Amino acid sequence: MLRRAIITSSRSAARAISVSATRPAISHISSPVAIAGRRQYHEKVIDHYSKPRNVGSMSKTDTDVGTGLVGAPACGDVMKLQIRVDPNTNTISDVKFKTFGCGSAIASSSYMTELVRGMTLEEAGRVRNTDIANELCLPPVKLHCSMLAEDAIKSAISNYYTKNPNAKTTNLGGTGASVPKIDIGSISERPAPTPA
Amino acid sequence: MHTITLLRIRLSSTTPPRTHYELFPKALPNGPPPSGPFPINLRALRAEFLQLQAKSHPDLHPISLKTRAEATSALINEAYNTLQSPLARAQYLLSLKGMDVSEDESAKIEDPAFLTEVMDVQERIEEIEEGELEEMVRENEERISKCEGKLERCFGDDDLEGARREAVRLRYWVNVRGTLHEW
Repeated sequence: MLRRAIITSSRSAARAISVSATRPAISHISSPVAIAGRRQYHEKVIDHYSKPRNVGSMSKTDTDVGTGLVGAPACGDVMKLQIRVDPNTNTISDVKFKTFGCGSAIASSSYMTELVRGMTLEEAGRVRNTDIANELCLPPVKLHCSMLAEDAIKSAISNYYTKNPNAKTTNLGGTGASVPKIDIGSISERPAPTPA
Repeated sequence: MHTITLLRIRLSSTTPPRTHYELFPKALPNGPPPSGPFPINLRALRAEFLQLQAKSHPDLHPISLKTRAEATSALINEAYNTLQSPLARAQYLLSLKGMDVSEDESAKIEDPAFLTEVMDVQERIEEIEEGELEEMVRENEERISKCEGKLERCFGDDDLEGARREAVRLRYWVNVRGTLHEW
C-alpha cells in the first residue's frame, strides 16, 4: 500500500511537471520563472515528494475522522487531508493525505501531516502556511501550495467538529487539561527563512 | 510574392492585433465569441498557422525588419498554441474579459461535490487494473467533451461566470487526462 502510494505521488509529481511544462499560451511569459523555480526546489521539497509521509486514506464515515478536501483551480491540484482524533485528549492520533498536484503541493501536505500528528485540534488549527513554507523553503511562486495545506487541515478540523459537535465543549470542560505536552522543539527549529 | 508584401505591410503597421483571432482571418472569420463560435476547426487553423509561419520566417526579411519578423513569428506561435487548445482558449477568452483563471493561484474552489468527484477519479486511477485503462480514458474524454460543450454554450450566451466554472472543471479533467496518459 505504502509503496503504491509513493509510486502514485512520484507519478503525480512527474505528471504535474509535464503538465506545467506544456501549459501553453497565457502563462507563456511567466513560464521561464516557473522553470527556474522548479530547478531551485529545495532538497526538503524533493525529500518529501519523493518519499511522502503518511500517504493514504481513512474511512470518511468514521465519527472520529475529520476530512479536509481542497483544491487550487488555477493548477487543477486536489488535496485530501484526514485526521483521526482521540476523543479523550482531543489530539490528532493519526493523519493521512493524498495530493494530486505539483511537487510543492505534495511536499506541503506531507510535511503538514508530520507537523500536526500528536497536536491538539487547537494547536493544529493554529498552524500557518508560513510554518510550512519556511520549513520547505518554498519560493514565492509556490507559496499557494502551503496555503492549500493550511486550508486542508482547517477544513479537516472543521469537518471533525461538524461530526462531533460536543467535542469542543468537552475539551473546555477540563478533559483537555490532561493533554500531554508535545515536544515540537525539533519541528519549530528551522533555519532562518531565506529571503524571497 | 504577393503574400510577402502583405506581411511586410502587417510588420510595418504599428497597431498590434486586438486578439489572437485577428491573426487568423481565414480560419476564424467571425472572431471570438459571442460573435464567433467557441469551437474551432483545428485543421483550418493549423493550415493558416503554417502559411503565416512560412511568411514570417525571419530569413525572408531584410536585416532591418528581422527583429520585427521574429516578434511576429513568436506572436503567431503563441496565438496558435493558445487557440488550438480548448482549455487555453477558454482561459484566454476569460482573460480578455479581465477574468483570470489560470494565473491566480490563490483562488479557491468552492465546489466540494466536484472536488470529491475529482478525488474519486484520481483514486480509481491509482487502483486501475490492466485492461481498465481504455474505459477510464473514454470516460474522461466524455467529461472533457461535456465541459467543452458547456463552454460553447456559456461563451455563446456571454455567460462568463458559467464559462469560468467550466474552465476550472476542464483544467481538472485535462490533468486527469495527463495522469491517464502516463500509464
